[in-house]
Amino acid sequence: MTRYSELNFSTIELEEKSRQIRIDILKAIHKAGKGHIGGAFSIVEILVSLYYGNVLKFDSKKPKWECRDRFILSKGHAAVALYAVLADLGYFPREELDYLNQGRLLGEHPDPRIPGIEVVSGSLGHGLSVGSGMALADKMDKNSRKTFVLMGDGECYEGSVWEAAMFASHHELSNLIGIVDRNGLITHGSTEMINRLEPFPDKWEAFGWTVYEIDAHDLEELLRIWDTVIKKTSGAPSMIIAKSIKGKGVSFMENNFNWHHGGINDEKLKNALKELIETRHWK
Amino acid sequence: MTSMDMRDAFFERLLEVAQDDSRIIVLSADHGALALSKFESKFSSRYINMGIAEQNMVGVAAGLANSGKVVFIYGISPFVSLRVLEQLTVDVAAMNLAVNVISVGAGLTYSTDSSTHLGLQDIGAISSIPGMNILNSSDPINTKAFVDIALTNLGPNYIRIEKEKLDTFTRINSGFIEDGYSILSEINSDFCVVSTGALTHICLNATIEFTKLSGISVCVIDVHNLKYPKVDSLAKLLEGFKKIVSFEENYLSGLASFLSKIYSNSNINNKITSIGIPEEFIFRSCDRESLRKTLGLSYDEILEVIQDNFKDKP
Repeated sequence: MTRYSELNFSTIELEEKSRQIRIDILKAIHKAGKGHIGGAFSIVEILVSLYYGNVLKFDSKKPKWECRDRFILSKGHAAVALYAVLADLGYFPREELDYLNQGRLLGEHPDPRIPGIEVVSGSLGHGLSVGSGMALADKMDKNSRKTFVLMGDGECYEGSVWEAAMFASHHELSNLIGIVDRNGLITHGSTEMINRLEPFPDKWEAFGWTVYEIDAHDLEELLRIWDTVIKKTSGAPSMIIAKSIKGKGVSFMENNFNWHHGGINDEKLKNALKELIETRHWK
Repeated sequence: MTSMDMRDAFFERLLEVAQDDSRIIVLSADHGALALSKFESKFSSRYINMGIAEQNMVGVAAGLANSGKVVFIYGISPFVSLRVLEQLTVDVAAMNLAVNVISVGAGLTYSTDSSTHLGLQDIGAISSIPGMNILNSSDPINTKAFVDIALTNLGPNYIRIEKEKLDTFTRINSGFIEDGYSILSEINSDFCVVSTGALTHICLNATIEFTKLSGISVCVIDVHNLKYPKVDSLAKLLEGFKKIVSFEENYLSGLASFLSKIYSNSNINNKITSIGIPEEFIFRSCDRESLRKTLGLSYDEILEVIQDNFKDKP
């Protein structure tokens, strides 16, 4: 692995890839002792469709390839999911996943020392501004590449997100694609109970974005939407509100904010892996 | 002695170099200057008024710099330092990107705008960011040179410029830009005044008067690089004096804190007195000179401090 153009996965194979990525995430967090499982599981299909679905342009052997599309994981706490993808694609050895948060390459939040990581993230509310700057530079230089920014829904409480939202639409950054992992949960509960985000799509529309609401775990729908937004060459930036399930893939983690961050003991790991390996219950 | 508005000095030099350097982009937080409007009209595609949204301005600057641009972002001191401290840390400095903050409103510049617009904490706050250089303008020569520094050492710079006319200094050390400080008067003295920014001019005048009255010479040093000057040579220079007084138009988290790092490894900490703005909120709106007087930083008060500290040879 690999250049993006060498990948040609069927939807079934992408589902299998998603399953494998979740297994890698679980094992990495188990070895690390703790981590952000819920928000990592909710973005797996988004990442798999972007990286394995012939969407993002990249070359894992040349992470700084100048024609690459930019992917910014603004919700940096879900980095373990991206690490699992990048390791699988050959950006760095898979064994690094076994050493998450143990003083080697991979930390809980990502930084660009890690091949395939574009920017430092972890503090929320930064990625959309930085991505807007990248998209603006490409527009100025007439580069055709795209910039994708993946945020959490809780991240959208940050005022800086809306400063960027205003800016990107005003400057018609059609090469900028925002994604919100709309799992509805933050660390201590539901977004709608704690500080209401809805009507969330209307807010983005009011800020001048073209908004798409999709199922974050439906690979076919994801591929269709990427195909639509990457063809845009003018007008508003695109916002994909990806309705997801926090902890998706393991029944006892799903929609449970207690799995936002923490450890997983041996027994729970065994049960989770059993579900992921044997039941594929989300199908 | 040539005098010039520091904004003119900076932006006119920027205008010159931007002619041949298409990487240069200017973002403004809805803040203007006459010389900046020349840049805007000449390079309209490379100038963006970002509106009053400084956090986004820093993030966008980081994204542009990440794509090879050299970005200058312009705004009033507290709004391009304190308000965006985390963006400067995470998006800019941690990535070592060529983003240059042009901060106007040093010290008591906006004295009629009351406490929210004063630039008293910016040096202290920015100095906590690893890798971010701090350059403080004090005359047309160093202010113009800051543009060239920004284009030579591509990385994060916090550049503080005055919005008033200042005279050009006569300097003793010819390599002052690289040194990070300027020696402005008699080096063979027992006494030294260290200052930074516009206040150095008042300090220089006060020491000239003091020397005239007492016959005692005083060395005056203007520090323009408050993060990465030639530390060893500055420390060695300061070690040669028997008494040192530092003056600054900031809280002591600025120059005094910077000097404490310089002399923490030398033998001068028992002979330095630091004068700055008392740590309190200033809600008095008046002209800068009157406010300086209230806070003990006008010519008369500075002369008095110099007389008190240097009146007897040690």
